[in-house]
Amino acid sequence: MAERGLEVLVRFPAGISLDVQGEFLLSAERGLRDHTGLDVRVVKDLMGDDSKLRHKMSFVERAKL
Amino acid sequence: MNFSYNEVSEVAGKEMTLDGSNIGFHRERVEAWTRGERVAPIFMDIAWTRKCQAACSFCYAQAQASEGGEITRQNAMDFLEDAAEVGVLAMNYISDGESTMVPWYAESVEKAASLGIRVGAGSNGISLTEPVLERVLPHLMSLRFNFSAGEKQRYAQIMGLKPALYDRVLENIRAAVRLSKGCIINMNLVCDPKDSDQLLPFARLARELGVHYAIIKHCAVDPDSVLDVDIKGYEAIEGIMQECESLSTADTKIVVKWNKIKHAGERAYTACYGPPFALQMSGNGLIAPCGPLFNEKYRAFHIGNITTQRFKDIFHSERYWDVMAYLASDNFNPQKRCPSDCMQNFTNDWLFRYKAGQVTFPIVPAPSNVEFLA
Repeated sequence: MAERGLEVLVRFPAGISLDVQGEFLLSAERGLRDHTGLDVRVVKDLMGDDSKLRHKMSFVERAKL
Repeated sequence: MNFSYNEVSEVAGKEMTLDGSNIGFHRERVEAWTRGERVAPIFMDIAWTRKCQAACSFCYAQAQASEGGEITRQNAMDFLEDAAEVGVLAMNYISDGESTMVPWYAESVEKAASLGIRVGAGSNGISLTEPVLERVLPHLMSLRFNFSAGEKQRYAQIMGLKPALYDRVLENIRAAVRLSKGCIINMNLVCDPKDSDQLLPFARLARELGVHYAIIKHCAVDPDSVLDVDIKGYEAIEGIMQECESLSTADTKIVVKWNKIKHAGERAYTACYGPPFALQMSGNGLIAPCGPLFNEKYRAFHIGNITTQRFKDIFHSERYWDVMAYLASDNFNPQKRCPSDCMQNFTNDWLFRYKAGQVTFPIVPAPSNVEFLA
């Protein structure tokens, strides 16, 4: 099973493209792991759209997904 | 645990790998990868949308939302042309959405086939009416109906659908069996141990419908616990699953994915080598190494999006190969970072053992679904 590791959460302001965000996150993770030797994971401080958990939605809401 | 990678099942006169990986049959690409060459995916699991009429409680798509676009017909056709150009051999239209909901679904199957890409598909079956089936079946290698129950009321509960749809989907399955020709028709039950009362009704239903085979598989568990599944609950229902298998007939084989269920998510490998061979695309156009990394939280591993870029440019980009190299490095140990299973699991396991000199290329004949790595 997955272990949490040391999660570093990054919050991006508006205006930074998704491509740049992705490259930054991976680069930051690589750098932090190299510098600390620790099990660091750099992730975005945002669970993607979990308001849309389908089984909690009505048929009408699902149709608008 | 050791898997039996190449255990094949005979279905409708064809030998198929249903619970393992065919990666070992792709010697040329594996050897090129070993030499450090940039190999194209053999197989891709994709969706054309994230929409779905159903709402199965165990659906992994709930944990896979990310920022993305809406795939247009043109995006899709360009993507298929690019995939064929770079060397993708097969695709499953499954991933994290109900692809039959796009109006150009049948066209996308025809287009892939015309480009020489072998296509398999998975669907809840609601939209697969006879006219659609007549268009797609001649071009599909297999068609899977996601049908996680056996009885009408429980079907409605488990899949979050109106009971009337049970009858409509059964009608569509019957039509698919009748029209199948060379396409393998199967049903797929994702087994949440708490819904084990539906296993035997499902197996009996599959037999009655005359599908070529019916699969009983485990639930996936996500790393962020969005899904609530007791992955350890399978041991208690092994007897029921064995009883289901015993219902197999000459026409309909009931297959339990024992390899997947028995290993309970344990991974014996410490690097992820599979994604360059078996890549995934979310129904919002996102290209990512695997489904468990679709969520926006894992943007670090998101490679590109076909709604804004051509797939061939994504494939040839430094970003693509940077992500793949990272996954294969000491920095990414799937034992620690990944959920209990993934589409690439058997492929990863084989590749890891291959690099360690523990397995080599099989000498038995390749199964009929050799291009499909999941």
